[in-house]
Amino acid sequence: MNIFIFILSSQNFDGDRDQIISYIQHNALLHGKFVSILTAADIENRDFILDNHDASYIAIIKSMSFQSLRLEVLSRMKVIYLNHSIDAFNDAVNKFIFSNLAGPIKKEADATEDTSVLQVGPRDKFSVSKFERFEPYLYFPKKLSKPASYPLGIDFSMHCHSSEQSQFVLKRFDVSGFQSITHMLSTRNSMVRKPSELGQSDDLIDFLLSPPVVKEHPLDFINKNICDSRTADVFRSVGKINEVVGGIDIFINPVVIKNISLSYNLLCTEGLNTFHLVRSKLGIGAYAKYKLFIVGHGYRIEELSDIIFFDMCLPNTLFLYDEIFFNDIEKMIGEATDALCFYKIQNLACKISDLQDKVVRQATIEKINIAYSKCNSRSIKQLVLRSLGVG
Amino acid sequence: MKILLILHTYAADGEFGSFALQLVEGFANTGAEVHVIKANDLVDGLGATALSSELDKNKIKSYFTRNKFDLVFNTNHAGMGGLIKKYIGQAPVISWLVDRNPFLHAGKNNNKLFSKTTHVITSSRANVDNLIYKFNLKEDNIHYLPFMTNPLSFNDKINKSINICFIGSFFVNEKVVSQLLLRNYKNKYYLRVLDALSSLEDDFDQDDESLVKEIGLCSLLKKQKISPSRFKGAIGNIISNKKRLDYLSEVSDLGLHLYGTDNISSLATHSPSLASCFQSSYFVNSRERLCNIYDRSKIGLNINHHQATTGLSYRVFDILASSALLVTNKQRKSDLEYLFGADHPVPIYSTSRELKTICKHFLQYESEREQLIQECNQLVAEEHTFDQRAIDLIRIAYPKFAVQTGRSMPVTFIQKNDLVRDDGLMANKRPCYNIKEMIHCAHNLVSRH
Repeated sequence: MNIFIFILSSQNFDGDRDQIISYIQHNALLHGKFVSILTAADIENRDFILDNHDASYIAIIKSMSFQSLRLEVLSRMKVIYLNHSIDAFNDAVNKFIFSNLAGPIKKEADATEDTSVLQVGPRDKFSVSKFERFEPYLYFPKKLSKPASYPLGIDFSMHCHSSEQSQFVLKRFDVSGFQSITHMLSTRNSMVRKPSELGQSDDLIDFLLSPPVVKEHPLDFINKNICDSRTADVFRSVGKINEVVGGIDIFINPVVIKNISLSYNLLCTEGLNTFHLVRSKLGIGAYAKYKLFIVGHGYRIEELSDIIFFDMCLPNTLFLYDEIFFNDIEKMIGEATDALCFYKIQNLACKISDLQDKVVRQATIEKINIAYSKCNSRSIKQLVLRSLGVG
Repeated sequence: MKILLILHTYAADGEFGSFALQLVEGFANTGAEVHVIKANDLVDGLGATALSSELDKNKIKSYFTRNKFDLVFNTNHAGMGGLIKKYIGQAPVISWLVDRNPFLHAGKNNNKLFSKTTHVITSSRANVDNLIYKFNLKEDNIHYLPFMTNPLSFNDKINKSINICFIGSFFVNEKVVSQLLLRNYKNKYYLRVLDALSSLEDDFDQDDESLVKEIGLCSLLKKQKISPSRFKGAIGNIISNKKRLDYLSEVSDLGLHLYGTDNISSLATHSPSLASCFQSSYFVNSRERLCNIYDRSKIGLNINHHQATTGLSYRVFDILASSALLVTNKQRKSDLEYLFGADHPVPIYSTSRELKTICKHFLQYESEREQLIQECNQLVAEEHTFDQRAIDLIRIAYPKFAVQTGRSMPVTFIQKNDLVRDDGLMANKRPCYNIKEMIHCAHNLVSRH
């Protein structure tokens, strides 16, 4: 793979595009490499020499115009996508695939180094996270400096409804399998992103290999349950949190009400009556209102990356993350992760109490904002170096 | 003395569980002649509001003509309508409401559900007033009798391999309430449903119809076709689940073993650490298994169903009789104090923290635990056995009834064919059973844990 294409979505980078381009050019030149600024049409029309022995070649496409690219060209490039919205990227690629491909094509598992990354089945929806050659990246969000006026928001959204999801476990597990899965759920300290992370347990491997009885990937099931059990832990701490910060705003989704045995204390505790029932994911506007926000437990990495983007955009809102997301976030923003606020459930109330101090809060926010700005420039540099083969 | 027992079963295979069979044995041990009809054979489903139309009038008439019963005992007022009521005649009837509310096989009209000769038994003292009000009963006709156990079925020589055990259910009919909340979010009914939850958590003995009227939920429930009793029942389950989740979670790291129905597995989404305590390979489907668990446990936990209010479940009596220490939750005006005095030896917890402290203490100090277990065993050794309870029940109708010691009569189990149309009455083939053998063979535990 010798051509790296940085695709800039014009949609969200109008203000920063020139800055990013010059930064990439500068870093490439330092290593004696030339960077082409191209449009999608340029790539289509130009006669590329796709020589595997050729040196690295960096091209920047100014906008995300997949429709004008030929599949065989696109398939020989490493695509690095610069934008915050992976969903938008997925949608664009899907649109491209489905409008250009008629017949069935090979699946990703059959693809080799020289074959197309876009070799997905016609009915398989494309997702960036499945393809190594697509590298989603987060860059340069525009800061929203709207003042945060409310003290604390908590996202309590859940994924599983007990009576439905438990049947999934029951139908698929023998006794040891059940024990293994519950043990794993209760002891995990990070999300499970690859089957290999589950370790050597035969029961768990059986679980992953057994035919699915619900329309859900086993890892999704596991992660949903990890997330819900963490959310349940926060439910149980809400009394203590309320003692520390009066006037909490609580965001729940319908699944929380469906699990009313679990959420009973939450819904029926006096003084905790500021509920917001949300039927979809929280938007940036919801986070922007709060000085402090306890981030919910979204099981998909894409949800988390959206929240990191919101965090980057909102310098006046302090985001508190469950430590279970540390690894995922570190993969996205590297060292900057260390500056963010993570909590263990045992110290959540204390952590919130500490952050009520104005000086502590301000210092924390500044630390985070500095880390994010470093992360942006450092990440661009790393990307460039990597694409030049020197990173 | 000739007694007819009409007993219901919830077991999926339709067989009687060990509780029912031991009760039958208790009656047989009094020396009385005992007949047993399975209530399920008399109705098209236990929720029916009349007897089955398949019943054969002639067979039933013939049966009751040949058998003049001195007493009819039933559980939950099962089968007490139509033909059966007619042919029982003036024989006294004792209806034990083991599930708090009666079946409506005698019709929907609360005021006419119980005849003047019927004695109603409840196992929660707080339910007495509620029943008087709801069914227009006279005080003389309603009696409190607690549940009971069989101390002989436990073995204190078994090695204690389990720290703490809980045998029970997790109830999964939350939908009735959660759908109401979701559909009415942000409107006046949302808060009213929450008010009902709080109100019933505080006092579950209040009348369901009065409650929904007072809170202003009549029209909503009617529109959604939810009866006040179903609504109240669902809330009872939610509160019970909540209590069990809170308490069990607290001791899940102390060597807790959970046993029960598959529903417990739904805890996996609520609390994986608690769900991992679920012993799903060991289904408690017989009394032998139940006793074995308590025999192997150092502590047996009780977390009562919210609808028990002041009452004590079967579980309490079983653990009291076993070699495990009963640790139970605080109940306001508990029947525990009423039955055994304020200085009873049973450790009681009010909060999950207290539960943990108590469990840690008695796991650590074995001799203290052993001492309390002995005292607990004494509480139920004589007065709270199946044999004694059968005598108590008969003496409600016949105060001077004397037990014929050492005389246990064979029990006659009436088959469905003997009651419904088509097949002829097989009087000569009516099976008689040795009740002790049947108990041994019982597979299903009816006990409402």
